[in-house]
Order: sequence, then structure tokens, then C-alpha cells
Amino acid sequence: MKNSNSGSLRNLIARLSDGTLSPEEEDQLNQLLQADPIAQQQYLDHMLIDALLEREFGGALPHAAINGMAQITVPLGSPIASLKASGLRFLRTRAARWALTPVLAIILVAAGWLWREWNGAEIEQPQRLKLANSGFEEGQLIFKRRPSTAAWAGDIAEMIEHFSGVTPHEGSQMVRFVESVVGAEDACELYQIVELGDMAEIIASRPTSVEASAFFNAIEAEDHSAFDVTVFAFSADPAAHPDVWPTRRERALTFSGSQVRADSDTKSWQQVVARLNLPADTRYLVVRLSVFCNDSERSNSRFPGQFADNVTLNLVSL
Amino acid sequence: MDREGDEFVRLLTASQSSLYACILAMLPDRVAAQDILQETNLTLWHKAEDFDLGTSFIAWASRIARYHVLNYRRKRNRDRLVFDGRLFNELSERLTERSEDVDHFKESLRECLKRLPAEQRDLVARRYAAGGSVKRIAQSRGQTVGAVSQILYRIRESLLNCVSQYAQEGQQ
Repeated sequence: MKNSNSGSLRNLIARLSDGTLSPEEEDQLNQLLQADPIAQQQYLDHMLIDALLEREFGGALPHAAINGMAQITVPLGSPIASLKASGLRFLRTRAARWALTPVLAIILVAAGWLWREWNGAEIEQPQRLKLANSGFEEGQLIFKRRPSTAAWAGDIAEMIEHFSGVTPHEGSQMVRFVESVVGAEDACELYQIVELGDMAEIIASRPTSVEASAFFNAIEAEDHSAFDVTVFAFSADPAAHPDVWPTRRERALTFSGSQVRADSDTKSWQQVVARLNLPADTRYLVVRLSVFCNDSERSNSRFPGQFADNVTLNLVSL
Repeated sequence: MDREGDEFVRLLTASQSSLYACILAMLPDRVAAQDILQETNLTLWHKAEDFDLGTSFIAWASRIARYHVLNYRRKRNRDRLVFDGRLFNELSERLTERSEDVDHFKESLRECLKRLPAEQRDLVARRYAAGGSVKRIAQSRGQTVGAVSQILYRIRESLLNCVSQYAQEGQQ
């Protein structure tokens, strides 16, 4: 193998193994492996380890099912017992194998199906749900007591490029939580409604969860900041009735949140991830981002410097 | 079932991981590889009487698996296959020559996994557990998919060195 290509080959094999190889990269991989025994060896070694790891950690089910094949199919065939008693090698005959083939086929197909179900989330990749202004790069923040679709609403916040040395996690802007007005004084919140549309059919037909993630940062640790992401599930549009959101804890089908305490490192962003198993009748989600400021010496409801960026929402079929 | 029948089922059962690995290396498509493993199992069962006990089961089984992969490739458009025909032939021949290595790799992999630092072992477990994906790991670690992919590559490389060492020691 040419040394200059070893980095590319390594990268391409890694991407192939992880399922992220593009068609153009497939062509490159073909070219690098073509008539190059050492590169082919490297590829084979790597894919063999990859497959064995897959079986070691995720492929136990077919193994168990095939183990069961010996125990289930043979006793099933009462002819076998009698033939065994008569000393004939029934199972080693073609006729016996043809007789047992339908049973074996059913078991293998069932094993395959169960294996796929077991590994379903891997086969069916998480589906990204559309969140408006997920990186706080465009549009406007709405100062409002109720969540809206297609925009972040809630307490007073601003989209900025930098603040006291803190720069965005991704893109050119981030959101700064400025002042708590609509809720408790120690919390500043933004929320957004996501209508599930066609996705609701998936949720109704199979176990599904949603994963909401956001990155947070704060300028200092002395104020005991904390960050929170919460997802609420609703069967009807929570914006349709003014009293739904204020009583969300009672009106939501379910909700789940996750909190992280701010660290003192302004250079790194902290990720907060909330997961929620969705009831079958979920039609709307509300994602809420909150920052808490527990500084008892703070004289007003303004927040000194808490930020969020890069919010994502993924649907995962279980 | 007689003793030879018992032995055949034991070999078939024990070879599932190695056989899957051979198929995936020839056809890097996890869903198709799983289907082909099932088809291969059926053929192996049908042809059980052609197998000579005492010879290499995985070498025999991987030749039959190669036939099924070839069949699958014939039914698919070239643009849906990663490797072209010539490269597939080269790879599958090379693989057939060393199919017994796969069994050795499999036997020592568990031991090599124990030798990994806890953090790496945890990462591998997350990647290969049901529902695991590089993208999800990258999100949870706040890293890019490419960065996680490269870390995993290096871990697989060190596992490969370890299992190869075991295989060499076994031959001495």
C-alpha cells in the first residue's frame, strides 16, 4: 500500500464501518483497494473485527435462536425419535432435511426478525425533528407567556455573537437568557411547540422516544447556575387554549427533563439531554430550555450571562 | 440425532459469528449480510452430508457463503454495491484463504476486550450495543462524528493487534 494513501484508506474504512460512507467515497475505497494486497488485508482485518464486535455486543439473539434450533427442531420431528431408535441416521439423510427445512426456515426468519427488532434503533436511524431557529442564527425571539410553533417564545432573551469571552457553540450566534418575567424569578425560559404531523403515525404504531439536546454555557460559577432541558408531550395543540401551558404539569400526556449544574469553564459548552418515551397519542411536543440562577444576593430578575445553542430534537423508534 | 448430527449442529452454532464476519467483509451491508447468513445456514443444513467432520467447518461454510453473496450481487444494481466485481473476487479469495483466522480472532476477542482501558471498552460497548451509533455517541460526547469514528478505528486496530498476537502465540 502506498503510504500517502494509508490515511485516506483508514478514514474510508472507518466511515464504511460506521455507515457514513458516501457514494463518492465508495469509489475512492474501490480505487485504493484495487490490486493492493496490503490494503485489502487491512480492510479485511478491520471488517472482521468490526463484525465480531457487532455479534459480541448486539448479535446474541440469533445465536441463541440457532442454539435453540438444535433443541427445538429435532424433538419436534417424532419420526426422528423413532428413526433414531432404529439406529438410522435420519438427520443425515436428504429426505429428513427436506422435511425439516420449513421448520428451520421459520425459525431462521423469526430469528432474523427478532434480531432486527432487537437492533431496530440501529437499522432505523433517529429522525431529526424540525425545530425553528435551532441554532439561534435567524428569526426573532418572542416575549410571550405561551409557547409558539416555528419560534422560540418565553422570557426575555437575545441572540448575540459573543458575550464576556463566550462564543457560540456552533454557527455565528447563540442565545443569551436576559431576564425572567413570565415565570419564577430564578428561572429564565424559552419554549417552542413542534407539531409531529406524519411522525404521529410512527409514534402510534410502535414504541418511540424523543431525545432533546441543547448546549449551555455561563460566564461564572459563583452564581450557581443550572441548565435544564424538558420535553412535554401533548395530544392537542398546547397553543390552542391559553390555560393549557400554565397547567402543563397536569395537562401534558407526560414530560421529562434533565438538569446539569454549570461548571466554571467558559470555554467548553455543557450538553444537556432529555429523553422521553412518547405515549401513542402524542401529536405535539414542547421543548423548554431553562437556566436557573440561585444567587441570593441578586437584586433583580436579570441574568448575568447564561447561554444556550445548538438545540436538536430526535425521534427514536425503540 | 446421532453423534455426527450433534457435532454438525455444534459447529454450525459455533460458527455463526465467524460466518457473519466473513459475509460482512465481502458485502459491507449489515442488513443484507444478516439475510445472507440465514440463507447460508439453510444451505449448510441441506448440504450437511457433504461436510467431512475433521476438516475446517468455517472454510467450508465460508465458501458456501461466498456463493450466496455472489448470488445477491447478481440481483443488485452495481450502483448499490460497494465493491466492483473484480475487487469482490480478489477480496473473497483472500478471505477464503484465511477463513480460519476469523475463528482464532473470535476466540481471543473477549480476552482482548478485557485488556482495553475501561473508557475504550465502554465506548465500544455503546457503539455495538443494540441501538448504538456513532452519531449518537458523538452527540452525547460533544464531538464530531468523524472524531468518534477515528477513535473507534484506533480501538479496533488495537483489538486487531491483540487478537493477532493471540493467534501467533497459538501457532507457536
